[in-house]
Formats: sequence, C-alpha cells, structure tokens
Amino acid sequence: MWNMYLPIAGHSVNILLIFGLGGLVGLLSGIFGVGGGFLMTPLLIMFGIPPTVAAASDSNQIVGASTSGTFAHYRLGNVDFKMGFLLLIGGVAGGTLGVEVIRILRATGNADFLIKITYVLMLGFVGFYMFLESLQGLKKTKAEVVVEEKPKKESTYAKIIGMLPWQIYFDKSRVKLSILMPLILGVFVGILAAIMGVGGGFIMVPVMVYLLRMPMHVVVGTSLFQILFTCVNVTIMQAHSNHTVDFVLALILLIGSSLGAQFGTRISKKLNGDQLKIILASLVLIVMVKMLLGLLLEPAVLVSFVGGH
Amino acid sequence: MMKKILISVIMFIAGLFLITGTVYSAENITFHVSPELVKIGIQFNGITLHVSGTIPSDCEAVVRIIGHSQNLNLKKKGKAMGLLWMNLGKIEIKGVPDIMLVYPSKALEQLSKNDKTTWKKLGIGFESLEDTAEVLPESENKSKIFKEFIKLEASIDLYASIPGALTYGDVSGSVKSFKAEIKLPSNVPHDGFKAEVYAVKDGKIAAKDVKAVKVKLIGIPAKISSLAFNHGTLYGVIAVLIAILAGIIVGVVFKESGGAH
Repeated sequence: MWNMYLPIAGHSVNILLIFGLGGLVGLLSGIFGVGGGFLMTPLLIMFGIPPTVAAASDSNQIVGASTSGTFAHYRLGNVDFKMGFLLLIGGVAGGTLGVEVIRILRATGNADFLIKITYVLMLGFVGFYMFLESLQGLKKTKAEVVVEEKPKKESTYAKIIGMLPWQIYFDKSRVKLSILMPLILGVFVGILAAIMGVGGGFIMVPVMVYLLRMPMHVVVGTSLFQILFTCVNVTIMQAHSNHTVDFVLALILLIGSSLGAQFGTRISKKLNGDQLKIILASLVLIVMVKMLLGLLLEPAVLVSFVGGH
Repeated sequence: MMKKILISVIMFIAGLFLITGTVYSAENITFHVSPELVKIGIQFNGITLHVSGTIPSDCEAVVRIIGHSQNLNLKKKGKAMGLLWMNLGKIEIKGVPDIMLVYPSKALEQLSKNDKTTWKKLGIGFESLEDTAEVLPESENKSKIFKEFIKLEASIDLYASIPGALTYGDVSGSVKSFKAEIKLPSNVPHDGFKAEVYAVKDGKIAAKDVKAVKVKLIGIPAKISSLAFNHGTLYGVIAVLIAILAGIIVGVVFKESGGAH
C-alpha cells in the first residue's frame, strides 16, 4: 500500500521510508546550511536506486529543501544576497573549470584515487579544525565571560585581505571585504565541488566562517541560497543530457526535506554558533571516517555500475 | 514382398528409437504464462508471474526468465598501492541479458550442485553465460570479473536462481504437469523478456519452448517517462519549478502556523 513506482529509477520504493529519509536530511540542511547530498545519495543507492538517478534526483529535491530553508532564513534576516551572488558567480566559473580539470585527470587514469584522497583530507582537515576551534569557543564563553575585551592583534591574513582593492561593506554579514574575496573563494569551492562531485556546502560553510569571517547564522542562510542556484543548474542539465532526474522520487524526498528544513531552522536558532560548528564538525568527521573505512575494507562486490561516487 | 520391406523399415526406425531414446520437440511441452503483459502503474511493486504446463513425464523441468542482451560498462574495484580499495579502471561486459531468473526442479537443482560440468553444458544457468559473454579489455581475469558481475546483478534482484519454487503435479499418461511462481522484481526491464521452459533428460535438453512477455508503463509512470525522455529540458524546468513551489508552500504554511518567528 505504501509502495510507489519510480518511472525513471525503474524501481518501486516505500513512500514512508523515502519521506523519512528526506525529513532527516532536510533537518541537517536547515540546521547547518549544507545540501545533504553527501548523505542522501549513498542512502538512495543503498535502497536500490541506480547511482546516476540517485545523484540527479537528489539535486532536484535539494532545490525544494533549499528554497524552504532560504525562505525561513530570509525571514530571520540571515541571508546575505550580495555575498551569495558574488560567491555564486565565482562558484559557476570554478565549477566549469573543475569539470575540465576532472576530464584531464580522468584521461591520466588516476582520477578516482585523487578524488577520494582529496575528499578524506579535506573533510579531515576541515572537521578537525572546526571541532577544535568551536570547542575552544565553547570553553571560552563559559569561563571568560567577564575578562574578554583585550585589543585583538590583527593577523597577517586580515592585513592581506585589507589591502585588496574594491572593498565594500556587506551589511548582513557585517564585514568589509574586497569583492575579489568571495569571487576567488567561490572559484576555489567550485573547482573542489566539481572534482569531488558534491554541491560544495561542506566546503563553502567553513570558507564563509573562517576566510570571509561571516557570522555563523548568516553563513547558513547564505549557503542555502547559493546551493539553491547550483542545484537548479544541475537538475536541468541532468534532465536535459542524461534523463536521470526521477521527479516522483524527488517529490517524495522534497516534501520530507522541506518539512525537515523548517524544523532544522528552528533548532539552528536555538543553538549558538559554536554549538552549531561543533555538531557540524562531528558530522564531517563521521563522514570522513566512513570514507576512510570504505577505502581500507574490501568491498563485498568488486565491480559496480558506472555513475556512483 | 512389399509388406516385408515395410515391416523391416518400421522395425529399423523403432530400433533407432530404442538406441537413441525418445526424441522430443517443442510440441512435447505445453505451457501458459500469466500475465502475458506486465503493466507498470504508479503502485507497481513487482509481480508474481505464474508459469504452468506439462512436460514429458520422464524429463525434469527448468523455467527461465531471460531478458534482452545488453552491453554493460562497469567500474572495477581493486587495491591501490596495496592498501586502499578504489575504482581501478573500467571494464565492459558484452552480451549478457538484462534479467535472468532460473527456476530449476529439485532434481536439477541437485545436478547443478553435484555435477557442475553437466549443468554448465546444458547452457541454462549463469555459469554458461560466461562462455558466450565477452569481457573487455581481454587482459582481465574473465572468470573472476564474471563472478563479481553475477553478484552485482543478484544484489539488485535481476539475476537469481530459485531452488524449490518449481513443483510437479499429476502425471497423466506420458506427461506430467509443473508450475512455478516467479517473483518479478519491481526493477524489471521495460522492454520485455522471454519465459522459457526446458525439458531435461539424461543431462541433455530434450525439448524447449518459449513465450514472449511484454512490459508496458501505464498511467503516471508512462506520462512522466515519456516527458523525461522526449522533452528532457522542459521536464527539468518543470521539476525545478515544482520543487521551488513546494519549498515556498512549506515555508508559507510554517509562517502562518506561527512557526519560524
């Protein structure tokens, strides 16, 4: 009774299961401003959806979830549209460049090895850094509430970005930066996202926090806004070239994930920046460990269909 | 004189039969498949295909579901630098069916376990596919790759060998009845397949008969599939617009219920 046939995936699924899966991933998306593709796609493959259909339909559902999330964050005043657009322009350029890079890498034969290693190293580095940094932040807020206010020494990084031309003020993020910064960092994330085959939320969020120095709550809203555009592009491209978008699957997922994203946004509001960062860092580390185990343990079947990660 | 010659010819033919055994053909098998058209609607979750009929009473039956031949590109996993498991290049397997379900009788199930050579020679099971399929590049270990390929297809229910699902009924005269209930998975290929019945005697195929089964998408799946494959870009744009709309609706509903503020 609860089964539904997915015409593009060519497979029937339990609606409640897929709805629940969407809800869970939407929750994470609303809390942290990440797309959730890193979680959803492997889970869908586990339920028998072909890898190419799982990835493309996931993009389709992220469009819905990130619309809902962006909408909720916009009402809370957490979306920096100016910053978002600049990152997006950089991201599109970087993504195009990244696709070319991956084509060259594939021709040399060792692409998959490089992708996996980049993945593990990036996730490991970002996860550990965020975890330690937010742990210190949490300790500090508990212990040194009164003794703060020492004049902060300006770091070399701050000096360098202060010298770049075309400085403008970003109201929502309350930072003054050169427009080159989001553009260049957008390109960097775009390249990495294309190489790693993910939406980029996991890299974009730390980049916004640490390199653009944006407040965590604005980072989440702005990241969701950017992911929305990236996934609109991917969905249309996949539907046009590969016919791999299963709309029925995406619709069930997105009803679940849109609801999840709303609850996620509420939870996000109740947690402070450091708490958010430490939970996200733990998630990143869990994914990293899972990938590392995948590399170290012998798989059950030694061949796989083309299209998965 | 003529009568003597006639009797001799008849006796010679009868003798031949005694030496070579009974010769059977497709006419010695009668069988029925239900349904002959598998309709895939929005609530399709696989289907049981009923195959029943008669074979010569001195034979054993195998029912086999076999799809169209296809060429598949696969990724091969292996150890890089003696430590890390990852995709190490692509391989192509040519000439393998897109679905293959084998339902042997109990006796033939035993044969497939105890006398693998005879079973393989029959050309009914997965093992025999290895001889007809091609694995590229040729430098690959065909046998090893093939075993992994069968495991991969079995993991998505498209290749299966089900023991004990074929049963015999009454014997009447020179024939006996059989039936098999075949569980077709929901990911059955859309381009149809063949239902085959084999009568096996003394380690050889005595007779074989085939019926085609069609598969058709109906209702919503048919409409979505047609739009996705014939008007891909439009389908993508509609999918995106509905997703955005759904996201906004959820957002508005939550706002009105006093949610996010």
